[in-house]
Amino acid sequence: MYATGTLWLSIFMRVGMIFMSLDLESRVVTGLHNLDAQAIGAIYDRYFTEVYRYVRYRINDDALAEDISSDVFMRLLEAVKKRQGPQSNLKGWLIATASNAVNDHLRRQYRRPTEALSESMPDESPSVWAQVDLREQNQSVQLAYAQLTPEQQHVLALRFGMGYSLEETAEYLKKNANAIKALQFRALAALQRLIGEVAHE
Amino acid sequence: MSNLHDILETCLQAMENGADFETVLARYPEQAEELRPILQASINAKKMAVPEPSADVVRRNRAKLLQHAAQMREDRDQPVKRNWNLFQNRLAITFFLFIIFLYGGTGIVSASSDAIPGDVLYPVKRGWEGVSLSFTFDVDDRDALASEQENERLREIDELFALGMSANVDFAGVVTSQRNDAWQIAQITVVVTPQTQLPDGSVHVGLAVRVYGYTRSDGVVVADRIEYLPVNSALPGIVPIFEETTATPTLTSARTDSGFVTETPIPTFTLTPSSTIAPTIATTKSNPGNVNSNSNNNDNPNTNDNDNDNDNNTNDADDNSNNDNSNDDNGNNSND
Repeated sequence: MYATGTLWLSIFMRVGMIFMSLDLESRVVTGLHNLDAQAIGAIYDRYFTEVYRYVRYRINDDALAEDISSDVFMRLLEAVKKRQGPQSNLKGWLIATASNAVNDHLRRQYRRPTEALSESMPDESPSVWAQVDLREQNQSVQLAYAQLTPEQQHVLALRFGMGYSLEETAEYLKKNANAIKALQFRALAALQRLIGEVAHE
Repeated sequence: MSNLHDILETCLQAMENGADFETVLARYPEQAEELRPILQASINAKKMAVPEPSADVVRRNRAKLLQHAAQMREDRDQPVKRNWNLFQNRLAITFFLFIIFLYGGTGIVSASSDAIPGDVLYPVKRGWEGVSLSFTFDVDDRDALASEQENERLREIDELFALGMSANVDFAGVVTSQRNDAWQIAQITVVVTPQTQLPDGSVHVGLAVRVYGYTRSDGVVVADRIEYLPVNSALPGIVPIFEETTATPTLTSARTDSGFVTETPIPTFTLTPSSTIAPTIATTKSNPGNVNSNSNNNDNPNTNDNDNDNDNNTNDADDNSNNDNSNDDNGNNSND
């Protein structure tokens, strides 16, 4: 009897929290459409870190990740201005926009490849060295990851970069759970194969 | 294959909850070889996860975003100003066009002021007269204006006669004589033909009528239609003055039984040795529509009666009992 009561209380609390969350989101979205500074600030505080982590996961460049993440929020304001902004699920909209922004960047990069800095011209600044040390371990993984398809990158970023569950990832990718399972399987298999190829090179 | 996908997901969740890599693989010995590189890849993928951005990055980009939002708010309010400016511009253009139209219209009206029947601008002239009359709200002013406009009709006919032109005209006046088919109305000879539409009842001397017809080059108006004028209609205040003679207009006030007083011109053309104008105003009482024309100044010493027809001195004795006491202003004359 006590256990049943506790279960119902838990359910009520969860439902209540969901409704409160929806109401808060609704108010924030309304404020966003009015270009209310407070609402925009709240959205930024809540989602910038996630957007940055997603972008930074996919692009191995801090400055570029910062620029693209910032651009995602600028796009949000522009979309609101054109009355094309999100009516709900702000996070989903931001992540999808971040994914498109990264894809655009990668496409441009593919068309106009930039020459990597030569090792004979090392940057002597300590911060850069520290970053290089930090990333050396993951360099082969990064190189392999960069060769995945955008969709594979996207699913790995959500699952392993952001730590989203299967269901959340399925929601953001607008696919069912089984499709995500298959996609992540192929992505991981491709990543491991590419890591091996990179290591051999 | 879908089974392998499910097993991978189960393994990932187990590792997420803290299970060891080898322990997880040991649960699926048949798929272990196939799962091992996949799970290893997932560990590598997880290693790529990056920490949160620095506070400096967050603060810098937050400020940038809010500044952009403020700019957008400003831009959003701008269209209102632009719309207002657009509205002002349109208002200015409309006002400008209105002024142009007004001055253009005034110019046309002004140009039409000398138009006579048959001219292109004559309808403009008549239309403007109607507008002027409609926008004159004072009764006295309106009567004066209507009377002035009736004078203008006579002046136009005079001009048509002078030019020998034929045109459709209409004018108001009092019948002062009726000789067969040639009637004198407001000192204009009106030819009444069998085709002329006359009002029901007889038209006799002293009645105020409106004539619709056309001018002829021989100085007459051929009547198409003649209508009675209502009692309070405007009549020409001053009759046309012909150059051949020196005219002495005489204004006669006709009092009606209804109490309305109209100034009915009973023109009296007087040839005087000098060009002195001696206006004569006689006040008479008459029945509605009848004008006592007994005020003709046959006894006026200054009057040459070659323009006055004795027929004009029609007294309707049956209707008028006070028609024997008309005096002119000069006191020169009493007409019994």
